Amino acid sequence: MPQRTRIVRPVSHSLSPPRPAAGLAGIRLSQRAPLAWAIPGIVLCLLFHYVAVVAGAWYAFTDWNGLSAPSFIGLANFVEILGNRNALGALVNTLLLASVFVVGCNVVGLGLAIGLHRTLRSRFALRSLFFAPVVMSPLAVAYIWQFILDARGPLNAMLGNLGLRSLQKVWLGDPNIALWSVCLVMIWQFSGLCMAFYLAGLQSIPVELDEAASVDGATASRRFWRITFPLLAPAATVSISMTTILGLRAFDQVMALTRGGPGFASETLATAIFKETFVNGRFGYGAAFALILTVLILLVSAVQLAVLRAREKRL
Amino acid sequence: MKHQTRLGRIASICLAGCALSVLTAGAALAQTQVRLLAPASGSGVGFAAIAEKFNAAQSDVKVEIQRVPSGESYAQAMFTQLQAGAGADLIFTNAGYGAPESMLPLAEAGQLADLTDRAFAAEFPPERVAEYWSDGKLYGLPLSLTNVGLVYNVDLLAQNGLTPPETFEELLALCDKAVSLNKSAVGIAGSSPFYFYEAVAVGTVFVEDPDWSEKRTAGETTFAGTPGWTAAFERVKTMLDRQCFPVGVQAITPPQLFADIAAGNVLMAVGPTTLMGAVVNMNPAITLKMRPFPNDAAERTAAMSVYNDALSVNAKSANQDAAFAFLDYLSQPEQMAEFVKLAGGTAPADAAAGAFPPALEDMVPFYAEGRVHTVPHHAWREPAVRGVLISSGGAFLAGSKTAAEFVADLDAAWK
Amino acid sequence: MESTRYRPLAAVREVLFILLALVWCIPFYYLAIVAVKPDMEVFTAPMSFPSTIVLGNFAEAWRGTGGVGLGEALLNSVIVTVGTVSLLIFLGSLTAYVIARNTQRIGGLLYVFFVVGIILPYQMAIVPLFSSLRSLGLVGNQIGMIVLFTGLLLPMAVFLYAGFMRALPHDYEEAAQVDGAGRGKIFFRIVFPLLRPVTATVAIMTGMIVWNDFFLQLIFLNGSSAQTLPVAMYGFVGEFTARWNMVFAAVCISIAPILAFYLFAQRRFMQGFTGGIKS
Repeated sequence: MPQRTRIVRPVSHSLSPPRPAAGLAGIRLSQRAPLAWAIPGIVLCLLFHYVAVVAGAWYAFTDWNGLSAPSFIGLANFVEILGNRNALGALVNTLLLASVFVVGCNVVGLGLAIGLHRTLRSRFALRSLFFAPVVMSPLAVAYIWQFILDARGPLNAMLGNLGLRSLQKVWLGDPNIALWSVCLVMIWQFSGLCMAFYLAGLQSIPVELDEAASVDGATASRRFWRITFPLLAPAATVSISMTTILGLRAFDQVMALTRGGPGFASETLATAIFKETFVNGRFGYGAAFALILTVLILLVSAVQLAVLRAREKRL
Repeated sequence: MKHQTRLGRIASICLAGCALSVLTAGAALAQTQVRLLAPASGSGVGFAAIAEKFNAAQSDVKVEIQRVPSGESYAQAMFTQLQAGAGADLIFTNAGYGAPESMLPLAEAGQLADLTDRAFAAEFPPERVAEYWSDGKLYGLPLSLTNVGLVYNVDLLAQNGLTPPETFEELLALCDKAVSLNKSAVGIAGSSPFYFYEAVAVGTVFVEDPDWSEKRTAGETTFAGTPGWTAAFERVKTMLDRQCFPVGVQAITPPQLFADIAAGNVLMAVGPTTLMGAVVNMNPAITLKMRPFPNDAAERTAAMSVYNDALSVNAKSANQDAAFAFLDYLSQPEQMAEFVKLAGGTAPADAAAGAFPPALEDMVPFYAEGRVHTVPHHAWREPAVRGVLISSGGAFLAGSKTAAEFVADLDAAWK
Repeated sequence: MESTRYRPLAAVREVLFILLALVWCIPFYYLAIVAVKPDMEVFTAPMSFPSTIVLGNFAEAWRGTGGVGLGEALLNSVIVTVGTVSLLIFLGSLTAYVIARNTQRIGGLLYVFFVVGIILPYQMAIVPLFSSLRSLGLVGNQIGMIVLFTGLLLPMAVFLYAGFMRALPHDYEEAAQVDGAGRGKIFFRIVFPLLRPVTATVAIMTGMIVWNDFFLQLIFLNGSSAQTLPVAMYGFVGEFTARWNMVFAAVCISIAPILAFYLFAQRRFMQGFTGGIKS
């Protein structure tokens, strides 16, 4: 049973290929699960992802307006993106938003997980509360926050009542703040997800280890940094990878809260793609943008995984 | 072999699933089904009501309405369906060019059916609705005339002893007055402010040069090279400096604007006629009227309107005759009148007769004197230009763009 | 146990976390009060407690707009979600089992094949998918939605299953094999039950995505009467809707089932959600 391994060792879980058991048992294993069983899944993934995406990606090299027959224009769309200040702004915004989101979400999530791991009597109720935003539709989340962050909305009213007038801001309309307001909403929504990942990681750490260290006289903070933290590495790998993909793809929250504005102050690659395609009718250009976003996510994911996996091994 | 039988079973389940779905989809229908794609705004409500009447009146054709959120979502749904060869039979479109759901780019790409032979075509010659004609063919049924102007809260102004502004200076004076009343003078949908900028520009650009858009298309002029555009943006800047707008105006969405008007937070607002209907729906006790956005002098002020909302037929529809039947039904005066009651705007017949409702009575003299301009972006072939009015327009309201940068962005988007 | 003893410091911590949770819940508070506000008050006094609590808002939202009631849409959403999740569990576990138990290079390659599938932008695939599914008669009905979501979410299901199976001990399978059990029996009787935590993960993650997705359902249901919850709900948030009370009431109705499911099965849910890590 799974519970058995929990006591033996924390098991790493990451995006890298699973390593099957080697040796004699391995050969028998292969026979146990014939490749043919995977064929329906492979075919489905091939058709729905690879074939369909390649069919769609071709438009990135055309001037397609969505209606007339597209004509091939080579790399012109990519050249234009590289020379476009707003496009580069969207790239910078995306990276900024994703980094702050990943850090914020994981720090808050880890803090919640450590606090709600054991001891507290209300921990189950509190975990539910912190996790609840994760299951809400982005649409609903955005509508509530748009209302709260309105310049004359509850947040500013509350700040006013607390005598903090100087902190009142045009949360969604100030070019210096809009992106971070979106980021705040995303952290609020997804911290519970990180908390859940870290909680599971904490639960996989054998109680005996902690107790042994405690008997040896190690302080709580020393125990955390020397024992708990390193053993959380696999959970961190999953949590960071997941939040990175969420952050780089940020769309719903941005679109519903600021529409990328004011101007391009909170534009991300995902909203830029959508606008170029469906507001400006530049389907080919939008497709080129989408390809760049995909390559970016692939690159970031690959580098991140390499680093996180190396860290897992080192710890 | 065991695993092969299992695979076989999986395959047969898949096949059975496919067969089942083909059967459900193919279950032959006695009447012709016609699908109408419309935004989930007043227009969608209007279509739904007319379709219900139409479906009850005869049994050959059944019209179903697919309602999609307005704005980009509508464009996205429409394009995806058309590109996949599954466009709706009847498609809600906008006049001219300039927006993703505009009629003429669709028509020129061969997506819309020619309506020149329909009976209603005689009512809408190119002289009346140039935005509906391309290459001598008509591509849509105009549904209603949309005016864009300054909407004012009649009672709120009267209570404070104020009158609607006839000149831009009077408007600025009202801004000061509103601030002293702890309100704002002018509400706008700052997150999507294209109508507002166009309403200002009618006075600074189009009153001077009604054919400006044609000249821009011909490359004879530019935004940067036309002082009127910079003047328009400078007027907006003045309004910002005089605190005419609510705080954080650049982030205000249309629904928030409606709420501001309905709650009496703003004395006036700039927007289309459809906005008035939405607000009155929220607060039936409110009385709104519209007049043109004021220019520097009353005699140089002009109205702005267009038959924006239209219904077109998909050129590739398999049920074109049924779609035409519904269009013909809708084009009858009785149905048109009922439609605008729900969707907002003025029925084409009423507009032609100069018969405007009380809310638009201030507009009548402008129509009588012919001081009316079309909404400019319908003549702009590149939707990205209107996109700049939204994006750079928002940045300008937020103070992060100058008028010079704004006009440069507009020219850059023109291509 | 030493580490779980309740000390005064823990009480302080408890209070602090409860306060934090209250702050965290402020958006839910507004969701709730706006949903029961009378029409006018939504814009005259948007953030105050409602003067009268109008539960009728829920009834009105339930009736829906444009002829589609939320009840009917709820049923459609349940059909699509349950159908998709069941298929994903079956195909995902089977495929991942092959990957996890394959010793050759192909196992690793297949893993990468599915992981890249998660990252590829399905948005670019929509039009090709739409036209091919349409020619199969799979547009505008629930079966088509199920096929579409299964195809799109399969890589995520395989990823979660494969990660978990890697950590799964082989002892039981080996014992069963020694006992002479066939391949099918080993998988369905021995391995599959051991996957329960990750099956919950897959069900919750994919189920949430399907339940909340708006655009794919809008496009692929193509105006048919089989509308799902997010599509029906959007009737309230159209361009000319500022009836926040109605919008929020509809939002409450749409999140209620999934939140209730979550609150009920909290322990299972939480463990299941991260079943991939924990083994």
